[in-house]
Amino acid sequence: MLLQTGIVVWLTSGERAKVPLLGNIYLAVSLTGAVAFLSTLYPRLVDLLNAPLRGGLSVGLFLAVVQGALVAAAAYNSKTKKFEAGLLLEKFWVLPAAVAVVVLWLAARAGREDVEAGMRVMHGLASACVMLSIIATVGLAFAVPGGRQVAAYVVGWMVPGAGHFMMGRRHKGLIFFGLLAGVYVFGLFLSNFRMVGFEDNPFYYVGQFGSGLTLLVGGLLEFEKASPRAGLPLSWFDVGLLYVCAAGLLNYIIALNALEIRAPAARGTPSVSAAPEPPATTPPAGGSS
Amino acid sequence: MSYMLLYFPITFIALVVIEMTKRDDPKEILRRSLKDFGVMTGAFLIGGLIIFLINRYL
Repeated sequence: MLLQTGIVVWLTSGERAKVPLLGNIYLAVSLTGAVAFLSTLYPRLVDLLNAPLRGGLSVGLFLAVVQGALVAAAAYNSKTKKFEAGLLLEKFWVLPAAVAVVVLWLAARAGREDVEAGMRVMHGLASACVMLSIIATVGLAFAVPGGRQVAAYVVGWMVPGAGHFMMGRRHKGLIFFGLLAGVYVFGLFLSNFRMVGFEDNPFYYVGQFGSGLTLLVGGLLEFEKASPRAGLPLSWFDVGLLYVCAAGLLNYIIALNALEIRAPAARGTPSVSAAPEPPATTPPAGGSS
Repeated sequence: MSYMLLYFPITFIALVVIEMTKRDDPKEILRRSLKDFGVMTGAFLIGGLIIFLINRYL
């Protein structure tokens, strides 16, 4: 999601006047989702946010208050001496940061009495943010030049090869899906159809969530820790973890590759990267408006 | 040693995926993947042999 956010910031950098609202929504949900996701990896964050700052004031509440002041300052128009919500739309950093901090504070409050309840809030918010970011991405696809590639990237992240399929490279997309699905299922088979635990290997743990599909499978398998499969050599267990991780990491490459596809390719035409289009020889039609 | 056999499929698939992101021609993808795979496996085997010889004789 952080990568998504970076790409959209890049795409919208010259288009702020045209799509400030969508960009803000997208950044808000992406950043919030990323914060929520990271905090689920590190439950101690809840404890940290609930830690007393001074005189009973928690760190989370302090952050929320500071952020509220920053939002108010950003919305204040010194010329008219009024608060104008529209000004927030011109300041891309405000809304995402505000939403992220409020979410953190809410989760910390829920986790104060019951840490598991706080974690459930985080998980729910992270899931909602993923869904919202997809919706916002589709919206951006219609509003920003090059947005279709961003949509292909997100779709490609959700399902391996789907980005290529969406951009017209259907055979390639299907092959990508087949290869990664094979690697992933074989890895799961070796690890007894359980997910890689954080204790097994932190790097593999994060790597296995290289696609929305693997994240979904993890949820369905209830994130149970992997264990060696009976009847197989014990030394195959680590390799199984590697296979699961490799499927996720390879999907990052495939999804990023979808960003390079400029337009749906006609059947039989070479790829853009292999054979770039020649420069236009005719001047563009001028005076559009 | 049996788990070493699992090195081959994952390495080859990773190389195929990387080549597929760069070009479209299936023959070229296969040719380059096999070439890279051969180089990597060769380096892997030579490295293993050197380590074996060092442990065995030094």
